[in-house]
Amino acid sequence: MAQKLSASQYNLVYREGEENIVFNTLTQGMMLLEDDYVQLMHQPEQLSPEVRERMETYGFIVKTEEEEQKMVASYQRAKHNHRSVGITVELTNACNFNCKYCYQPHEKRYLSKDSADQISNWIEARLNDGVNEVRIHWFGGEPLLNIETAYYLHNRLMALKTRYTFDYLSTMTTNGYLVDRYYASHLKHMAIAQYDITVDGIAPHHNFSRPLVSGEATFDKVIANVKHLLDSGERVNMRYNVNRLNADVTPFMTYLKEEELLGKVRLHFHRTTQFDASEEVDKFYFSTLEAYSEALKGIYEQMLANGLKLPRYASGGTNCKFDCVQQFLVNTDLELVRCTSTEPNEGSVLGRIEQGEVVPNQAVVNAKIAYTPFGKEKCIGCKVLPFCKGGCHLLQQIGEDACIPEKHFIEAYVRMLYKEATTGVSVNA
Amino acid sequence: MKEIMMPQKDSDIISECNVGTVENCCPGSV
Repeated sequence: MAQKLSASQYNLVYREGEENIVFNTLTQGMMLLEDDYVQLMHQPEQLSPEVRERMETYGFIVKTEEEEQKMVASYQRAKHNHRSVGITVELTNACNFNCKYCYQPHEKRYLSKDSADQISNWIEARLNDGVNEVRIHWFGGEPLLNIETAYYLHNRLMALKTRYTFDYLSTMTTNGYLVDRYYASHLKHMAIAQYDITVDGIAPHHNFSRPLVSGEATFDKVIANVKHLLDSGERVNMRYNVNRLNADVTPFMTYLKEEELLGKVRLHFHRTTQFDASEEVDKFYFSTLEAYSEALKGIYEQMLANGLKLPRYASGGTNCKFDCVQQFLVNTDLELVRCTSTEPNEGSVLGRIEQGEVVPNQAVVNAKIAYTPFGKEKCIGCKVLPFCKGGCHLLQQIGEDACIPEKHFIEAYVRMLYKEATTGVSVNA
Repeated sequence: MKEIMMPQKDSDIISECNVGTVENCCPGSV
């Protein structure tokens, strides 16, 4: 028997003149619909076959039981993708910056070349297991403080490529300060697909939150290095950690425009979180998600006003790549840690690489596999569940709220997406 | 009836899982 069709629980409908913006948070499809069609979404059997087919494609009408199953199936498929392995390599936990909000202890440990050999051997074992995709993210501390080991490991992996067929992609999070020192000698040979470099706004804001260990300013050199990378044909994702002092991004947008960087770098705005290791700073951190949401709404408005493409959530898969079973951070002690936002501890260390093989901490591995973000009571009926997908395993473990800021301005967000789509002027690298 | 934004494709999303997207509820600031 054919399943009954009904309106999706993830439809959002907002009045727009004589019509209605209809947006589905699961498919992220959007239409402008007359009142009659909005009403008929609740009586799909009365729609013509052609219209019904279009509305099913957009996810506005669904086979009721299938909708939830599709979201869960997409999550599980991404989570249990055993053909792909993603390793965030902590090259060192030392850093030349002293960022106010940093959550890492900088104990000056460095990944050794022997350890890099073990990582390479482990990856080779995985290739023998059938892995056909390897993703490496170079991370620290400041990874450029141990660039020699990164370069060594990169060359080991390239040697594997002569013997195995696999897709390889690497990216790097760096503060950007030392890029000019190592670009020609190392970085340009490492096929880094994207550099994630944090710039916390215009010079006074950035220099306040991201000084050198000596206290000296870093802004001018970081910007010069961003330009150096762009001129060399590299891709830069500029991360901007939003705090209460730099939340008005207007001066930063003006600066990017003047420097002809707007539209050439990707921009990623992120809430600055206060951790145990973070510095106590007066009127710096947002105290509530609601307060941050208000700031982020203003940032999105600025992005739209400057013709930048608005951030979009992936409408399937996992909330965070680190919820995927084959995604790890490997630290300088060769421990497999759950993600970049946690220190190694009894709940976060999934195992350790020894002699090129992983010795698992089975209880932690089992907990990661068993975690499901769906079915939480507070998420029932929430329209933005397809965006946040119930939050990640880490937030559940530490008992933190996983709600996303867009939840608090979802109508404004959808209207901004509508404006972006209908004015068609957005640019973003 | 006017189509404004095409739905996302699931196949695009799976590959996204591996290229380091950071969600808006991730606590880590680096």
